[in-house]
Amino acid sequence: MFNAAVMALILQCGMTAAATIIVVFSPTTGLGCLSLGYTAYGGIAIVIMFLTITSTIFARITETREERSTIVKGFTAFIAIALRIITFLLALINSAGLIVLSCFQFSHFLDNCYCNANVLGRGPNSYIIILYTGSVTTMRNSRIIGTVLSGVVMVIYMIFIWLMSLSSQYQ
Amino acid sequence: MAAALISLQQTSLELTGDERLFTSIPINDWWIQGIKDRLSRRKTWRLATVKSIVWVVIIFLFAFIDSFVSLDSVIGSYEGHSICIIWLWLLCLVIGWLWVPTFTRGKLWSAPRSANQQSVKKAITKVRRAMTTDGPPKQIPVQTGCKRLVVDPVPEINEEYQKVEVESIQEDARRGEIDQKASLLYNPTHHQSITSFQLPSESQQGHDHLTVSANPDVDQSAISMARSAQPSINPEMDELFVPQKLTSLNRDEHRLTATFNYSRTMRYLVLVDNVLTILDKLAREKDEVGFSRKRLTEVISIIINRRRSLPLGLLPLYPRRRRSCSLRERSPRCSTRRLWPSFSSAE
Repeated sequence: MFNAAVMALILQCGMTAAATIIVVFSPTTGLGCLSLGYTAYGGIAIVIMFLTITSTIFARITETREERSTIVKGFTAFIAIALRIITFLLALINSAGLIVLSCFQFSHFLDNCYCNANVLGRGPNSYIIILYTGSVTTMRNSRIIGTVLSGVVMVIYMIFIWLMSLSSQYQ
Repeated sequence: MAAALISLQQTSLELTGDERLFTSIPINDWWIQGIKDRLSRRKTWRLATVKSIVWVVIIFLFAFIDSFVSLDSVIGSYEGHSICIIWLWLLCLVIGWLWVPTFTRGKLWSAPRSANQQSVKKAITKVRRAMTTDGPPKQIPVQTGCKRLVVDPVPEINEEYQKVEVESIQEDARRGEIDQKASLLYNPTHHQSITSFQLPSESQQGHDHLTVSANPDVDQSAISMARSAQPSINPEMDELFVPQKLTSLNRDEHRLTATFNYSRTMRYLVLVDNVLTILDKLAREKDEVGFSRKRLTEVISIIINRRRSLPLGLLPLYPRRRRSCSLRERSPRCSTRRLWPSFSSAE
């Protein structure tokens, strides 16, 4: 369980962080609608994972501890089941949110003044770029970092899965 | 076993602490192999899956290239790039799903059941083959020693019963009916114990007895040698005899795992097999040193004809001896062959 949780966490955080880095460091820099959406998606996903692990632990307690009283067992079982349902609903909402966010992004729904100016992160200092003549080094670096980060995370995850499948195949 | 457990990462499994369940007897190994075969099946890589994955990768590459090429011309070009990256985990999941064995819940539930059926069927086939290779078991003269052995794990058998059994044998010995010592002590946790039986020295002849005992602490049941008077296999019982009865072994009713029941049952099978082998060895070796064949036949018939027993035999087993084979004949076919060859390493 530990391996699986850590690898899922690495995959999820790596992908979200890479996407967020690219969005944040593209001008207008700062936290905008899109990067907020990505961050919220990643954060909710982490919360869901921890809630699921908690649910598993409670289910395990309910199943294995025979010496506990019936009330305690019923309580832990209730917590486990409730957490499982909550996490399932949260995961549904989260994935639907990601799809909606992607649709908004492609349909230029987020292409309005508020979002383009990154008012969320910059506040009164927000601005809108009309013509960009500055250096593109930061932008390029951020995109390279994001791509490399996602690639590395993907390779780590694939190697892990491959090793696990190998170990189950040849024993 | 480890492979099956690794394949079941997404399922909550619990290993019981009872080590007896993991004794390496044939039916356990078949069961575990069956579970492993059923639960570690992977998806196969087909051309369609490879093609789809390659298309997705190509699209991702296009998005990345577009993002870098249009870096200084269009400001908003990061959108495709970021969306590709945030959906990239899906590709990892799909490829991992192709690598790791996955199955539906119904398959998970049906896997132990079909493994039960398969291993029990295999055991039945083996037992049946053992019974039928030497012809149909009909009424066999007592002198041949070709008796029907019945393993009976009936719950009512308890320590007292075993004591009575042993005492009666000792009583027989005192009456002079048995003059050969053969202590067949059986400990279910050590299968070798029954095969490490040693023949007594010649000087001990004349005042010894024969004891067959099972360990009452572990098993609560004993091996019983039923009479040989049954003319043939009861077909109803033959049909009934394994799966329904086995699950109602003593203290096994509420166990979900098949290993518990079958490992116990197979212990009895192995015990019977070992007893037969030892008796046969005893017969042959004593024959060589000039042991009175008549006495030996009495020993065997006393063991096998124990009638103070049991309501119903559960597993009818027949030693693999030819019907016409008597102890006087010493052809190879007269020897009792082992039913379960994997235990021959103990000898």
